[in-house]
Order: sequence, then C-alpha cells, then structure tokens
Amino acid sequence: MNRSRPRLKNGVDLQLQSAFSDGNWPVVIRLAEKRMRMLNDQYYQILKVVAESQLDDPAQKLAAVTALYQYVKDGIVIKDVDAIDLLEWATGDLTHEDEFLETLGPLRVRAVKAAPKDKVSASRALESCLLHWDLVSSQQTSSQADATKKKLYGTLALKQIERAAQATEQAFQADSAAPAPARGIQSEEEILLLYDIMETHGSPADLEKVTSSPVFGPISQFRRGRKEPLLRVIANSRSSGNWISIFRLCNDCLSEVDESGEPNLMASDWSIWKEFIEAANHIKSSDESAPKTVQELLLKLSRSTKLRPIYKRNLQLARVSATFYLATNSKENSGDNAASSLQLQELTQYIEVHSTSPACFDDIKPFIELLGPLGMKNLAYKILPDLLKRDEIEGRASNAIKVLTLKVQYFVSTSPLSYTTIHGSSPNYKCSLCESETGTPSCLSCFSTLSWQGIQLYKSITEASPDGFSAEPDTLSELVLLIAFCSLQHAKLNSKPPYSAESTRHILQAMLLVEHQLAFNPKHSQFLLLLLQMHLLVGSAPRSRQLLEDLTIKRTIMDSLGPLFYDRLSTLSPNVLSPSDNTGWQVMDMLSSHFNVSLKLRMPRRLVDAFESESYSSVLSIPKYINDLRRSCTRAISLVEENRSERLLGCPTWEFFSEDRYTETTDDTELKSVIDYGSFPSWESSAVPPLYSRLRVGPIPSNRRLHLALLAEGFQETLGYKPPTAYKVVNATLASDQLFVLESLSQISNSLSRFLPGPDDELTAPEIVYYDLINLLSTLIPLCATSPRSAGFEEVFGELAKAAEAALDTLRLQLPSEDDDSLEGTISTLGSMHGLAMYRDAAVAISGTAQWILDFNEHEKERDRSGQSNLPKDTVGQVTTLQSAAAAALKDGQSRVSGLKGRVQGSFQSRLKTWVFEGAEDIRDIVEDDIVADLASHIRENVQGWQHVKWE
Amino acid sequence: MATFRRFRPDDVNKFSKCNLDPLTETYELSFYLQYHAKWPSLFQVCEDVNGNIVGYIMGKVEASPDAFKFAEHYLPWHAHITALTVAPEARRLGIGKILTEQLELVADANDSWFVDLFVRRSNERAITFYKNMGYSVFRVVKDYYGDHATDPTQSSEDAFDMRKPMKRDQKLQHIRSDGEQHFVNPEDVW
Repeated sequence: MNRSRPRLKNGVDLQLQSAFSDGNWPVVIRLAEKRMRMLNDQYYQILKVVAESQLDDPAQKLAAVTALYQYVKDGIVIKDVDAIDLLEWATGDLTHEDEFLETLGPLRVRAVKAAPKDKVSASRALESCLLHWDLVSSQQTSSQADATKKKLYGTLALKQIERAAQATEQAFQADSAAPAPARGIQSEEEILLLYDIMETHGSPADLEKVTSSPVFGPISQFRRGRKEPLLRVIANSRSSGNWISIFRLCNDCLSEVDESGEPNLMASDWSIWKEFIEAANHIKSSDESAPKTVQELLLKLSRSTKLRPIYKRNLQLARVSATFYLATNSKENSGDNAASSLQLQELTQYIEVHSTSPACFDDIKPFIELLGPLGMKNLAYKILPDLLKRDEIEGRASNAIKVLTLKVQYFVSTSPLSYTTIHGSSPNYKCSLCESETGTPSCLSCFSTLSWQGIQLYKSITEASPDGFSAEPDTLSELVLLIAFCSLQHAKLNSKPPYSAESTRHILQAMLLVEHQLAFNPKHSQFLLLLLQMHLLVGSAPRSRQLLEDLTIKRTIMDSLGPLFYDRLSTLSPNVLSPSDNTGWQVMDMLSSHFNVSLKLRMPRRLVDAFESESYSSVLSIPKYINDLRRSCTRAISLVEENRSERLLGCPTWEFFSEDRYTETTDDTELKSVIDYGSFPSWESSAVPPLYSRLRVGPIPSNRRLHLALLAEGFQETLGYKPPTAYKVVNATLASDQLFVLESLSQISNSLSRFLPGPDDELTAPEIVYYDLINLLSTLIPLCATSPRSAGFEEVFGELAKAAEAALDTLRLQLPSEDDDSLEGTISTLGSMHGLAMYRDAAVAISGTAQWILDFNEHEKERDRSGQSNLPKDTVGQVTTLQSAAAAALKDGQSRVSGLKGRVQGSFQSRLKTWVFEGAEDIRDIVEDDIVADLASHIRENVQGWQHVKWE
Repeated sequence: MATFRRFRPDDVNKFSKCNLDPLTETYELSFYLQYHAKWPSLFQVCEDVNGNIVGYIMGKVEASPDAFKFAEHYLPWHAHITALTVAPEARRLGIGKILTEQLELVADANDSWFVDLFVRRSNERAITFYKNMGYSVFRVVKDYYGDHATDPTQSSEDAFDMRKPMKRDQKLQHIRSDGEQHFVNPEDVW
C-alpha cells in the first residue's frame, strides 16, 4: 500500500497546507474545523477526522475508520475525490485489504455517479478500485461479478467491439488505403482485444468471421508486421483441432515475401514450423500434397540469401523434423556401417553441420529417440565416431565432436530402448550396446566405460594446455558433467532419499569433481545449480547457501528458482535460516521480500499503466500473473521455512496466524508450483526422470504438500504458544485460550482431512507419517475436551494414542542406526537430517498435545469438583505414556545430534577422502585436497548449526 | 531452435537461462511489468524448444518532458533499448540482431527519430555489435555506472550513448560522427 502522505487539494490555504505536511495534527484539526464552519465544505470535515486519526490517542486512532463506515452505512455521497483520497490514506493501515470492497470502493462509485462528467474523478476512482482489485466497483466483468452481470458485461463488450469492428471494415471497403476511423479498431492491442472478446463472449462463428476478415485476419495483420494475432489464431485452432486452418495459416505466413521478393522470415520460428509440420501430418491422409508443400517451402526458404544463423538452424531442424514425421520410410534405421534410413541420413546431415555448436545435442535429442534401438546405436557408436575421421576435423573441433559423441552415447545408455527384457531369469535386462546383463534398465558397465573415456579426454586436454586448465573451458566443463553424471548413475538415485552410504559415495564423487571444475569456471550456472542440490542432499547445506549467492538468484526469479534451495531447508539445516544471525536473516529475507515487494498492493500500479497505455492484453495478463504469484507454492514455502526454522531454533515470533501468507490461503486456494529447471543440464532420455529431479531432497512443491505444511505449522503454533512470563494468566483467559485451541484444532483437523488423501509420491516418507500424526493429534484434543464424552471414548482414545506412538516409532525407524559410528554411518546420518527434523517435530507435537490434555484435565478437576469431567484414569495413564515416549524421542534426537558433532571432527576429513575415492582413483587424481577439506568444513558447519536446535 | 514473440508475464518463470548469466541483471517484478504494461510490443522474447527464454529485449518510446523542450539535452520522440540479453548457449546465432531489428520496426511504426541505448565503455563486444547494426556513439556519459565491469579498482565507468537514426530522421539530425568527443554528465541524461 502506498502510504505516502497525500497533498491537500488545490485552494487549501498555506497555513493548513504546511501544518498538514509537517504532521502538526492538533493545528490541522483546529484549522480544518474553522474552515469547515466558514466554508461549509465536506472536505474540511473529512480532513479534521483524518487528522484526528493521526493522534496517538487510541480512541481517536479509529476516527477515520469509524467515519468511513458511517458514510457507507448512511449512504452519504462524498463528491470530492480529494477527500476520498484522504480517507483512503488515513484508513489504509487500519483496515484489511478486503474491506475496500465494502467501504472505499462503494464510496468511489457514488462519487463517480454523482458527477458522471468529471473524468478526473472517474479515472482516479477506477485506478484506486483496480489497484485494490475491486472489480465490482470498477464495473468490470470478473469472477467477483455474479453470473447475470457477467453475462451483461460480456454482451456489452461484444456489442461495443462489434460496432467498432464494423466501422473499421466499412471504412476499409470504401477505401482500403484510408486509415481506420477514430472509433474503429486500429492498433495491434485493439485487434488482440477484439480476438479476446470474440473468443470469450462470441460464438465460434463470430470468431471465424473476425479471423477470416480481410482487415482483422491474422494474415493481413501479419503483412503489417504483427505476428501476435497469428500466434493467437494458431493456438485457438489447435485447441479446436482445426489442423486444416493451421496448415493454411502457417503456409501463407511462411510463404510471405518482402518488397524485394525475398522470403519474409518473421514467421520462420521453430514453433510455427512445428505447427506446420504437425498439421501436415494430421491432414496428409486427406490431402496427399501436404508433405510436398512443406518440403517445397523448406527448399525455397533455404535458398534465401539473408538467413541469420538462427533461422538457418530452424529451417534445417524443420527439415529433419519433416523427414521424421512426414516422409515414408521403407527401411529400418539399422544400417550396419552407415546411415541407412532417410531419417538417420537427415539427422546425420544436421549433425555434420552443427556438431561443434553447444546447442547441437539439445537440438538432436528428441529425434535420436525416434530412431529406434538399432538406429540409436548406429548413430552413437558408428556415425558420430566416423565424423572424426574426416580430414578437416582437428583440434578443438575434434574435441567438441568427441564430447558430443560421448553425450549421445550417455543419452542412448539412459534410454529404455537400449535394453531388452530377458524373461524368466535374473538379472532380467540385457544392454543392447555392450551385451551386459543388468538387474535394471541402466547399464553400469556402459556408464563406467563412458566415465573412463571422459576422464582420459579430460586429462589429455588439460595436459596439453600450458597452464593445465585454461584451454577449452567449455569442452572441459562438458566432460566434467559427463563424468559426474556417470557417477550419479552408479548412485542409482530413485528419487526417494535418504540414500545409502554407497549411493552417497557416488554422489560425493560427482560433487567433488564438479566443485573442482567450478574453481576454473566460477559462474558456470549448471555447476552451481547441480552443486546446490547435491550439497543439500549430502548434509552440507551451508555450502548451498554460498552457491545461492553465486547464482545471484534474487528478486523476480526467486519465485521460480527459490524452491531449489529453500524447500525443506529448515529440516536440512535450520541454522542457515537462523533469525538470530545476520546471514540467516538475510537469506530468509531474500525470499520473503520478493513477495512483500511484488504483492504490496492487491494489484500493482503497473496495471493502471496498462490501462493508460491502452495495452489491453497486458490489462488481462498482469492480474492473472499477480494472482498466480499470490498463490505461489514458493510464497507458502517462505512462510513454512521461516516459521519452522524459528521453532526449531527456539525463537518463535508467534506471528504465523497474522501473516498474509497464511490468512490468504484458504482450503480452496489452489497453490501453484513453478520451478524453472531450464538451466539444469538434461542429458537423459525423455523416458526416464532427468537426473536433477532425482537429486532433490523430496518431491517438488505441490498444492497438497504446501497446504499440509501450513496446517502442520498452524498446529505447532497453536499448541506451542506460551504467554510471556511477565503476563499473569487468569482463569478467564485460560478458558478463552482453551476455546481458541479447540476451535483452531477443529479447523486444522477438517482441513487436514481434505488434503491428506493423495498420492504418496507428493511427500517424503517422513512427511507422510508426520502429517498423518498431526491430523491424529488434532483430533485427539477435541475428543478429550468434548463433554459429555461418548460411550466408546476410552477405546477410541486408546487406539489413537497407540497410533501416535507408532508414528513416532516409524519415524525413528526411518533414521539410520545411532550405534553405527562408522564413516558410512555418519554419511547416512548426514543425509537423513530431514527425517530427524520430522522426528523432532513429531515428538514436540505429541509432547504439546499430551501436556495440553493433562493441563486441561487439571483445570477440569478444579472447575468440576464432582470429578465427572475428569479424564478416566486409564486415559490419563495413556497420555502420560505418550508424553514419556515424546520425551524419550526428543532425548534420542538430541543425542543423535550431539553424537554427530564428535563424528565429524578429528580424522573425519582424511577418512572421508579415502572412503569417497575408493574405486574412483581417476577422479581422486583430478580433485584437489582443498575441495575435500572445504566439504568437511561445510559438513561441520551444518552439524554445528544443528547443535542450536531445541529438543524440548 | 527458437521462436520470437511478445513477452508474457509468466515468462519470468523461464528466465533462468538468461538471468543466471552474471552479465544480466535481475530487476524487481514491477520493472518488467512496467514495460509489459506500457510498451508491450517493445518487450520481445526468444524462446527455445522447451519454452525457456534464451533472449529478450526491453524497450520504450518516449521523449523528454515538454518543460525541457529548449534545454540542451532535450530528447525528441525516440525509442530506447533498456535491456538486451541473450543466454550464453544461444549467442552467435543472430538472436540479438533479430530482437533489435524487431524493436527498430516498432520504433519506425511509432514514428521515432532514433533508437538509443547506453552501453559500458569497456563492453567492446556490445559496442561492436551495435556498430555493426548501424548504431554510432552520440555522446559519452561520464561516470554513468557506479562500478567498473572489468577494473575493480575503479569506482565508476563511462557509458556510450549510442544511436541509430530511424526513417523519420532523413536528414540525420540526431546522430554525430564524432560522438566520442562529446561528454555529458549523468544528470544531463534524462
């Protein structure tokens, strides 16, 4: 909200103006009252009230709010827009955003209706209503308007735009060179608005009429240099499956030529070629000439003399694509010595031209998979290596082709098509590349070979370089990724951490190698992103925090990239987010400030800019984006992680329930998850999950999980609250506190029941148990407090108490053995901190629940001397047992954490190095000692941070 | 594989290929939305086959306020390139040129006198790129940047204000051949 003090309206005397700008409120009140009596102007009455509300007196603080509600209730019309601005300013901090719809919004509408010709007043009212997203007052069509009004507004919009369109078409028919009439449709934005209204409120025939119009149709617009209408119509035709229309449109636009007869390349985008080829594929059975049309156009455009490299690439890939989707092929892609199918030939031709381009691999990936197993093998192990035999290939180009070959071989190894199933025997897969038999469709033998080849090439390049490292940084980086990915394949990541020590060994090998290369290429975003994930996974999160800084993930991109680091961070390394130290506070603030700044107003001021600039498409797209941002999973993560780290570190602020991030999230709020994985290397077949997705600590953020996490925090906040010690609790307060707890838990329980059912793969294993437990505990308390108790109370309570205890046991059993003090045991523990945090929170939740029930029972004993309200003795015994179990769990957790501290000291670093590189001596030879020392140091820092966690 | 189109607000969720590059600054959301709101046709992106944004240009059309009409440094109606970025992997493919040409088309459609931009004096690659596209230095803005891109011992760096005349400027009134000899202070630049 913009709370800067407004200026008083023109005509107000200087004395009053300066008192107001100085904040001299008693003088403002006195002078305003005087002017009011003298001039009988409502403005001064409001100014007086506004000034009163600036005084420190708590009674007068609400003067403006009271007046505001009174004006609305009494139907008073405040004609002076400056007076309404004053009221808005004075009440902004004291009213909730939603109250605008009932107060200032209607007041502004009244003002506009009272002076319909006052354009200044009307536009200021519209601006204010838009910024507060009061669409009813803005008289816009929206979900806020009821169905009848929505229809009315829709019809009005349709009629208005039809009239404007008609005027334009009539003018065009009279003189096609004449400009459109003033009230006609001229700009691209107006055309897009026409399309939008027709799509939303018109019939398909209305839309068809517009898109086939010689004035508004996408082709005529394209000829005027406007591509957006074309993209809109293609998207619309695609949704209705109108492939003939897409084919014609693409053909027409791609065939356009400029004044000199050269192809106009504006339409020569990959997306348009893709649509064109797909449409041709759909219609080729009814229109046999369609594939030929595509081929001829491709040939024609390829001959253009002014092709920029990107267009040349688009055309060449379109050619490859057309061969795959439109050409008929009689041969199988299996040639023994050379490319034998049309598809393989075309793809090989593309590779020959682009093999040294860094984008070549990504370009050809989708097509390799379409070659089939033999074609893939032929390409990876015959055609690509043969490229190197060409005379002109040498030096850097040769290394680039070698790397491309290794990448393609890696890609082919990850494809399930490279494996045949052996029925009835074990191991039950056979690698068609090296003939090895494996238990899973992933050939470790192939990955070992690829890793070895990668290391040899890496060494040969670095040894040939004068300083060892500066030569061919891109080639070396790619090789490091290849070797690291092969190590990660050996880790057999199944997306369900914690991983075994053996798996973690391979992750660490990959991680240390990438860390090594990062020193020579410190801003390499792929390295930074992968390392950020791997350090979270292995228990060295403080290093991830440094990497986050190096990545400069901040501001706008925080929503899509923040979850990579922040999601579940408080369970991995709560101290990284510690509000008690400056760094921790800053790390948290980097995330939350993006939402605070971007969502300060219900709608950003930019929306008003869009209205003023007549950018109608932006008027529609900005609110949609802002609403999505408000419902972003990342925003919910920012609250969950902040609150949970504060709780774990014993410094809760108790502000959870008043947070907008919580209050704005109702059960009906569909939280949206957006993660930008675009910068991660993705070298695997599309049939298997990419490696980056298997390096996560758990499943990606989802609507369900974030709702559960918010509710669980609500539960902990409800039971964990302790009034300040200086505050003496009286019985009446105690009763209302109890009522608050009971009502809060009932709500939480209701909501949990809605979100708990769902697929297990949206949660980690500890989260499944923990959220179930929270649901169970939020039922337990109201069950005890209900009076009279139901007949089966004791039995039901007993079952629930046992289930709670069992949940705690399950969480404990998910942790590695505490007795294993070997290095493998330490590595496993470091990778299980998420489970430990859940274990701790479960124990705290049980402990808090048991304590509340016991306190409640004591209170009831005092209140009802008859003893009838007391809990049965057995139940009290079960509660005490639960409490003891929770206390034991907390003690157990604390002991694990303090035990870990000793295990990462002393010879840890040297033992770690020896252990990690067992069987990976080639990698060890590359990685310097400093890298291992740094890793050990980050692990120690994390373990040290865990010592600050409260276990009570 | 690339597609050129207008910016949409949710493109910011696919900005990482460009914005994780240290040479590209990430701004507050309102900055991007301002350009999308006011000059949507001058905010163009290039996306790859997976929808990742691999390049974008942000521009505007404006003039100095009328009050400065007779001031020495008054800027007539013109287009301005605020940001142009191409992801490292997508460089040397002509994407920057295509984005700039598209902005120039819109500048002409808006009857601009010229297109201008600021570039660090040390950014030779960018300067060469713009010179090849027909831009020339109009003036040097002393100490325009509060840091130096290549020399950490310097606390500031000059900017080149580069311009390219548009169709409206047939007499080439708004460009200079000796722009590198004309110095102005940051406060002279609107």
